[in-house]
Amino acid sequence: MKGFETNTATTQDWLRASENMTLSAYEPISALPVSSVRPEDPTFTKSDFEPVPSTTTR
Amino acid sequence: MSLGIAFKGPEGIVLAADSRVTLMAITQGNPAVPGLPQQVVLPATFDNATKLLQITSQPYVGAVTYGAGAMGQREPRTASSFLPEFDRELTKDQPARLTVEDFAKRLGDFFMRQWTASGMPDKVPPGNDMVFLVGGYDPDAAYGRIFEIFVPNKPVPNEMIAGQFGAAWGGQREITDRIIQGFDPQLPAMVQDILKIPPEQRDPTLENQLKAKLSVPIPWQFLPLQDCVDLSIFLVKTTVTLQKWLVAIRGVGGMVDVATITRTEGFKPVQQKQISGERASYLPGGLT
Repeated sequence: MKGFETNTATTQDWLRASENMTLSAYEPISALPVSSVRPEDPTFTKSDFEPVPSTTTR
Repeated sequence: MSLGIAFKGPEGIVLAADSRVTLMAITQGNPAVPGLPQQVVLPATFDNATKLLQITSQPYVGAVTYGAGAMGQREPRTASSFLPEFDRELTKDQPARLTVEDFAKRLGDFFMRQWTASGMPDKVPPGNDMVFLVGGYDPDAAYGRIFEIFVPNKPVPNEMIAGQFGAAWGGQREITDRIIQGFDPQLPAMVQDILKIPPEQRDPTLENQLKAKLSVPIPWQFLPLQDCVDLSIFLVKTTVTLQKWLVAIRGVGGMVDVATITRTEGFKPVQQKQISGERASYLPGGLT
C-alpha cells in the first residue's frame, strides 16, 4: 500500500522536471565601476544607490 | 495522521508539523436500530499536540514526528513527553555535540526502548509506526542532513536527500503529493489496475516517470531559507484547509509549528504555539 512511507522531492527531481531549463543565479550590478559611486565622489547622486534586486534567477 | 516536513535547503533546514492528534474510539452500535453496524468508530481530534521536537543539550539538531501519536495504552505518552528523559540520557553519556547521524541513532534507540517498555507490539502494520524526521548540522559541515526513523519497524536511521537539496514529508501526505509531485501516491498502482496489467508485467519505474513529467519545477538547490519556511507552511496549511471540506479523516490541523536549523544559529523556532489563557478572548466589553 502506497502512502505510508516518507516521500521526497529533490534536486534530481527538479532536474528531471525541467529538462530544457538551465538556471544561473546572478546579482545584477551597475554598469558603473564601483569606485565611481562612492559617496565622496563629486559625481555621486542618491539615485546611484537605489537598491538592485538581490539574488534572482533567469 | 499528521503531516511532518523536513526541508533541506542550501541555507538551512526547516522542520514543520501540524498540531492535530486524532483519537479513534470504537464504540458499540445501537442493536435496537436495524441496519447499523455493531461497532462504530468515532474519531476525536485535539489541536494542541507538540510534534516539533527540540532537544536542549543538542542545539544543532531537531525533529518532527508523525504516525503513532503515543505509546502505551494505560499511560499513553507522546514523543514530546519523553524529551526530558532523552535529553538527560544524552547529557549523561555524551555531553559533547553529536553528529546528526549519531543523534538520530540515539533517538531511534531511545524510542525503541520506550516502545518495548510500554508493551507495544514488536512489529506494526505500515502506517502505524511512530515516525521521526531528524534534521541538523554536523560540526563544520556546509549543509545539513536529514534522517528518517520508524519505530518499531525501522529504528535504524535512513538518510534522506543525501548529497542533494529538497523536502521530505510524511503522514497524511496525499495533498502534498498532489501539489509537489503532481499525483496521489495511489495513482501508479491504480492506473495499472485499471489497465488490468498483470503484476509481473507492471512497470516499477512508472512512479518515477510520472514524477519527472508532473512534478512542480521548484529549484530546491536555490531556495533561500525564508522560501523554504514559506513553502513548508504553505504545504501544511493547504492540507489543513482542504481537509475542512473532505469526508475523510481530517488528521492534519491546528497551528503549524516551524523551526529552522542553520549552521551558525542552530535550532531556532520560527513559529510555535504557546500555552495561553483567556486573555486573547477579552475585548473592552468583557469576555466574548
